[in-house]
Amino acid sequence: MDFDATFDQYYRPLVRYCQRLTGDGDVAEDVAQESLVRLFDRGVTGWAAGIRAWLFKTATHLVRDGYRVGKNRMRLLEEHPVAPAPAETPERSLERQEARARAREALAALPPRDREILLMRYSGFSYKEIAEVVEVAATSVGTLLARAERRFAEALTATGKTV
Amino acid sequence: MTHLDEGTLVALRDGDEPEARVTEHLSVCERCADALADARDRSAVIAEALAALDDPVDTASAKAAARGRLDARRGEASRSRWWRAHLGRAAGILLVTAGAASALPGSPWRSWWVGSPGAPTTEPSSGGEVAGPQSPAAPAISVPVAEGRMRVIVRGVVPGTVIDVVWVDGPSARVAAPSGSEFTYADGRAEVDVTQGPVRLELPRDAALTTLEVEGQLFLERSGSRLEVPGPAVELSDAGIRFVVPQR
Repeated sequence: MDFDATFDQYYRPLVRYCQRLTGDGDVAEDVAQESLVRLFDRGVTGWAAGIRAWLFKTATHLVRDGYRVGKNRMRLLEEHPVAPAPAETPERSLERQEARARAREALAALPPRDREILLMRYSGFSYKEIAEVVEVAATSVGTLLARAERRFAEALTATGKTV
Repeated sequence: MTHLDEGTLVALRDGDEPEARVTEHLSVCERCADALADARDRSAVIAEALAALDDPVDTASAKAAARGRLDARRGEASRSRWWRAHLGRAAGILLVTAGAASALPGSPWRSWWVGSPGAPTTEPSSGGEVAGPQSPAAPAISVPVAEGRMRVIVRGVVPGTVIDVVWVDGPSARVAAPSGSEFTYADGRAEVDVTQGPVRLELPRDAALTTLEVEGQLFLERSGSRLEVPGPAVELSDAGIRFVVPQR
């Protein structure tokens, strides 16, 4: 398995998922990197779908276990600074911050399992993959997802956004 | 009429192959057809809401960082295997040799064997030079000074912990702490969360400003030749300082 190709394929969706799950970009990047490093360090192999499920499962468990932000993060940030985002208007920036705060608040209102199911679904996972990562029966995922969506929508409405 | 449950509607929306009875029901039940449309609308709104949480992702930098992390881990594992194999063999030979030699009356091995000083202690020694209590194998990091500054932060120490500071020449600091300690560092800054045991800090003598903070308290500040030591020093010399963390 090629490190570069695997990284290119999975890093971005992993970061997105972890960022949504934790609300912390630094933790998300660190957990995503750690998951990929463990994949290669442990020599995990298999089909693409299995690799993806393994990575997301590892990331989910790292977040659940309160994975400590990497020892080397500060040094890595020094060595590989993140490029600043392009400038945007103050109005757009404010809107984005408000939307982000609402989504974050609504997610925080969900029980952890609902949150994981919802985020995995909206990261493009199949019900079977979600079932494997979250460790529930595949036949239950539809019902659990529907409940998670309803709760998220209600929480979002409570923060002021119409669903 | 039995309506379709939420789970079935959501699965249907997400591409689940419907059973014949489900398709049949949807074709005649306006309520369930509306519920399916609502589920689709809700999905679009949720996707939009979640997208607000996303930041730009810098894959290239992250890849370089992850590769470095993987290389470091493989290097550690390789060194660890080497040390286990070779040290284990060497220790076995030494023990056998020393055991045999100590059986001889008057053998220097006998007194060594009986009077072994044992493991490093967390008690401060009485006088003498500041000596590192750390074994050479203790994990350590080396951090370069940045803009003339070095800030060291120590956390997780228990009362009685010995912290040795040794002044060194050169542009880097070295922080050694017991195995299991967590290091975080960038140029000019080193943080360590210590598992129980002594800490040894080699700090650059010539940095423009060096500070040591322990559990949020300033233990020392050195700026050129000016040295302030507000921390609980038990030994102080030109070579270094020994602190013993007091009871809180």
